[in-house]
Amino acid sequence: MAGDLDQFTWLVIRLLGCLRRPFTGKPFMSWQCWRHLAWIGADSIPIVSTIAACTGIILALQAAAQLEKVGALSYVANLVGISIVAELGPLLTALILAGRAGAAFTAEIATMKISEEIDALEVMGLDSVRYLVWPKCVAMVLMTPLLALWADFTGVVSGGIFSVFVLGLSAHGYYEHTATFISLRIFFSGLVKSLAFGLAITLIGCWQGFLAKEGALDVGRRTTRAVVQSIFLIVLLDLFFTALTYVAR
Amino acid sequence: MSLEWTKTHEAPEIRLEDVALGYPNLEVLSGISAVLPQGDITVILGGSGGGKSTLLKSILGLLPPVRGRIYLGDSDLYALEGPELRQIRKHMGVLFQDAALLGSLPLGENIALPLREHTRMDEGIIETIVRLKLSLVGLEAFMDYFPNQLSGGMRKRAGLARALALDPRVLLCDEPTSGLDPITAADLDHLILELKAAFGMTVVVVSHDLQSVFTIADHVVVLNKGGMVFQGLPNELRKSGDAFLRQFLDRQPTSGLHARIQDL
Repeated sequence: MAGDLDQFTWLVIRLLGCLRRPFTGKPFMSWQCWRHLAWIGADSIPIVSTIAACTGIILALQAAAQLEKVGALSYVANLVGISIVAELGPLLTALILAGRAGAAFTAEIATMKISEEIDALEVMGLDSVRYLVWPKCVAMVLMTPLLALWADFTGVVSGGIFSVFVLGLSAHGYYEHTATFISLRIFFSGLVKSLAFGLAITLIGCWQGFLAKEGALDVGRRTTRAVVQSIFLIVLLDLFFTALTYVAR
Repeated sequence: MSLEWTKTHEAPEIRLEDVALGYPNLEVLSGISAVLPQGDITVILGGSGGGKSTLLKSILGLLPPVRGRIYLGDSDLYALEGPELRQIRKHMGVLFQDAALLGSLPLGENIALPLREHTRMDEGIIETIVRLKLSLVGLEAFMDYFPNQLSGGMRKRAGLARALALDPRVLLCDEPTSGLDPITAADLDHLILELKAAFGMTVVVVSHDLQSVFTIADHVVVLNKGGMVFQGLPNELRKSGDAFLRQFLDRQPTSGLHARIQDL
């Protein structure tokens, strides 16, 4: 366990070292970064959109069932908007990326560790963290908030479409309620926590990859562990940021 | 910390002084003191699991010894830090057991990687050097192939081309002939001999392929049961009367195993 934590500290220190020359120091390769940006960002849009759209509709349905009883159906917009923008957009995006990108990071690095590719990089004098982890980190820190933003938009719009066409609310009223109740503070708190989620997924995923020792079994074990630990850390970070937002309201 | 040898064109000798590897409370190898001569091919020989690859990793600077020192020329490898270690590594080429080529890059890019990292050459010159190194190992036509599109022998030759990218003074090979057919293994042995003759490198080869050992070795180190049991010339090894060495060289089964087979 102490060795595992030493490895984590080593990874964080080496990553902090990358900040000195973030985009010019060797062996940072812009193509690696573009590859990850495309893969994490563009390729995740279909699944993020589908899940956010379904969540928007589910929230509208759940809210309508309760609010209808007290004659406050127009407040469906508030509930959907705040739930999605403050909480579910960033959280669901992070959970999707933990399963999609985090697991892939672990599997890639663990396989490279076992096949001595990481040793080869180090022996060639290439910083394996700068070569392998830094482009992933840059891509995740940029893409997680952007995808969360997209999830917010998709969730709110799908909830709106459902509310207008099925629940019979007016489009203008829905927009007014949403725009009034989603403050900039709520909006930005969602983006800030997305950034933290992205960083956490990268760190856990890459750390578990570097811990792999031997055999395909360990790659599988490390990948599972990375996903579980990422989900756990995402929820803890979410609790922390939500509590912080509540105290600072 | 002196790095004098890196400023000359000479290959350094490698000196191991009472090296112990493993963990403080569990030493896998201990008491290894040997000189791997400058410009010679030294073969580290021993049974499976005998610590040969572990010792090689330690010589590479990847596994600090729990005790003792490893010198490359006048440089104590594990007393070096950051830029000095990078400076030393520019002079070391490594062929890993399974070549360890980066699977996400084609061969040409794999070989260009150390050139881009350690030099300021134009892309045109880098491409010329990559072609030259690939032609040395007979793989010039495979520059755009990915490692998984090549056979085991071709991957090893490509790994050797990458190890030679920066014209190293020290070449370390981890079981270069393992898993290869006899002809490909012989080709690789002769390639190592030609490279040593052409560039005068200090070469360290980990192997348990006896035929290969007697073809390429100028100097042999034998490991057994966590220690070094022989250091000398190949001819001296052939003539040795040591029981373990005789059993190893004559490929005799262990008596326990022999008895168990008899029982069956």
